[in-house]
Amino acid sequence: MKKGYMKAAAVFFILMAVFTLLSRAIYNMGTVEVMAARPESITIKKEIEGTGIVSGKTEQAVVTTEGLLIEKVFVKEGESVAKDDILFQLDAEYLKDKITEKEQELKQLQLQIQDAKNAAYAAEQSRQLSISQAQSDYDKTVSDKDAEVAQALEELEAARSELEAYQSSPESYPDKNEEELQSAVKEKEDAYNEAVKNREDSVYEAQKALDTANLEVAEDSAVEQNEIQSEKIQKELDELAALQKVEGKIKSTIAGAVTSVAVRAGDTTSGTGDILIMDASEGLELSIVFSDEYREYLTKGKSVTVTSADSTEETKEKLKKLSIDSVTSERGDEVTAGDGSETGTMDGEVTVTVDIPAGTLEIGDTATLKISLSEETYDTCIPLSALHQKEKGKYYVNVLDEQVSVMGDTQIVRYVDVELIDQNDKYAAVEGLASSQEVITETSKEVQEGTRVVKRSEE
Amino acid sequence: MWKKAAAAVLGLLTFICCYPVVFIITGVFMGDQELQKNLAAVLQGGSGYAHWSILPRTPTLKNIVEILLDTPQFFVMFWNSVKTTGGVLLGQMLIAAPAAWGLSKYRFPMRRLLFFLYIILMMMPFQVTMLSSYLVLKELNILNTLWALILPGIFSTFSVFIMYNAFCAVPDALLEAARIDGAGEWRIFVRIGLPVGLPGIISAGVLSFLEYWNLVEQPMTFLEDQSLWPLSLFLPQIGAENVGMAFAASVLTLIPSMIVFFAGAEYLEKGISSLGLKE
Repeated sequence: MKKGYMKAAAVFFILMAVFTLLSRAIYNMGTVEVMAARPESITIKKEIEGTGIVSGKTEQAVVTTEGLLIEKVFVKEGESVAKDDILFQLDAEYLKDKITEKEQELKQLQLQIQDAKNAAYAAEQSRQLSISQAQSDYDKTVSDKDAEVAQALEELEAARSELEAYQSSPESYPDKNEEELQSAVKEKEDAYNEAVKNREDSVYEAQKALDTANLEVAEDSAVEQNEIQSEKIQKELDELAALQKVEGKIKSTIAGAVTSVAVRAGDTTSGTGDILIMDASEGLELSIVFSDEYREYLTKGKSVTVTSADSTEETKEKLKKLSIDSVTSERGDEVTAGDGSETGTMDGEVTVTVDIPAGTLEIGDTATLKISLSEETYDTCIPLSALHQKEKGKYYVNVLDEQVSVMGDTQIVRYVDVELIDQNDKYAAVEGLASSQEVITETSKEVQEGTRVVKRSEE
Repeated sequence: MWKKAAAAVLGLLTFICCYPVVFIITGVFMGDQELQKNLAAVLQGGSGYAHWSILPRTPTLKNIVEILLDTPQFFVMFWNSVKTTGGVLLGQMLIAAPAAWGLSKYRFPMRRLLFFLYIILMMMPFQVTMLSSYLVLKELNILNTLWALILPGIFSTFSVFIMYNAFCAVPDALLEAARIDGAGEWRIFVRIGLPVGLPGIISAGVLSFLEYWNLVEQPMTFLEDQSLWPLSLFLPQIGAENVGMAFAASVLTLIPSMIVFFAGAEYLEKGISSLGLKE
């Protein structure tokens, strides 16, 4: 019986030992490893930096005749080229066919021009003949009708004279009577009037025919159009011949870097900039876009530093002493919420351009522009990773706090509200923190107020 | 018939005495919600009476798992209690037993006065000697260490008293015979005194275990570091929100006491009865 109790006691204590180890292990698993640092006095240089690609100041487009088949393309985007480097090659057979096609087109146009000229000449000749004939008809009509009118007038006057003579001495004309003579006068008057009217009508008709013959024929511009077209084709032909002369090799006329290759082998030329080359001969520049909030700091002439992995030791010194050459700013666009409830302004941008001295960098090099905005020393600075934002404008840090408990001295997390005074990309100057307090900069898991932590020693 | 009636009454009284243990054991397997509901009147200052059911409606092992795996503080305090109690018992074996033997078997000047002082000190509650003990321990530079509990326990007078009565039952004639046979005093003590007085020693040990396993005032007074607190101070830390864990901790705290008690019950009975024996 006593041995039984001894065994029970032994088992109990062994179990308690096992559970002691297990509970400790589980307790340690719940402990978060953290890195901590004390606040220090640091000079915060507010610097901004941006990374971009060094570019030339001007860009040139490589243009050839439209519609030519490209056989090979020798360059790609970002590649540097020297003057007279071959950029792409046109297909010789296609070029030859194109030239032949243009020559035939030109000949066709020339024949059309000749035909049009001949037709115009013949039309003019015909018109002149018509005018001449109409004039002759008019003259003949006028003279014939004048003669008829004169004849009718003569007859009328004779009849009137006969009547007057009878009336003055009727007995002289016994075989005539006044009635017959008056009737004859009337008849002659009618005939005269008829002749006058007839003359007028005939002259009018002849005049009309003459006027019609004199009408200007509408000018035909077909010849001129064809001449313009043929000039154009001739020009194209000259261009094609020039290309054929250089075996279809399109070369670069400047030294620089290829910024755009819009064509591939098998494509046809577009007639616009198939390849764009950044001109290196007119100087290099670096343009970086910054947020509008730095507008007041970015002024022309401000000192800047450019760094690049592609620069040599020699050029690094030159790149440290540059200044801003131009600043262009763009205001933000006004935007309205989808339901129209709010209108705001999007952040604008400021573009800073810096001239890069010759011989330091090349087009296409990646460079970082650093601009120092302000510099001040603060006593209580903490790594930026230790600062947390509670809500807008309100910050807090996690500090290590000693807690005495049954498990001995343990470290726990405590929140401390701080006020942010200034910051750069690595440090933040704060107020409300004692220099002896250690702030937590990194954690292996998320922590809250009261979480048990253990400080990881720096390797 | 009277015997049966007496047995029934005693059985009922026994159950009433044991009911708190049943109460604790059933509480271990009750869920938090059921405990909160049953003990609302007690824990949350509500009106009315607390309720209880023998069988939990929603039994759970959560409390046991929580105390065994999620509460390393319990085990820190458990082993503190083990160290304290073990240290006291071992020390009493080394110090109190020879002291009791000396008082019971040897005649020296002011023996009676010394024994009288032992009895007076035994009757004094801790609160009376607390301040003087604190000053002495402070001078010894053992405040805020487990020695502040162990040393006073080793020199406790109660166990000397129990052992004294047990050693008084050892016949003097036996000792004389041993002396005549050439046994030295130490040999007499070890070979005769301890075996014959074993019931008294074990009963003193059992009572000391029960006393020091449940020590509350001394740790609170002499120990500042919570990492040195014994198990008896674990329960006061538990609040209304983890009553289930309190029950589980109570059961685990009770188990060693029960093992020790049942193992030494026979000796305890003999030891206590020896208090009434006269030479």
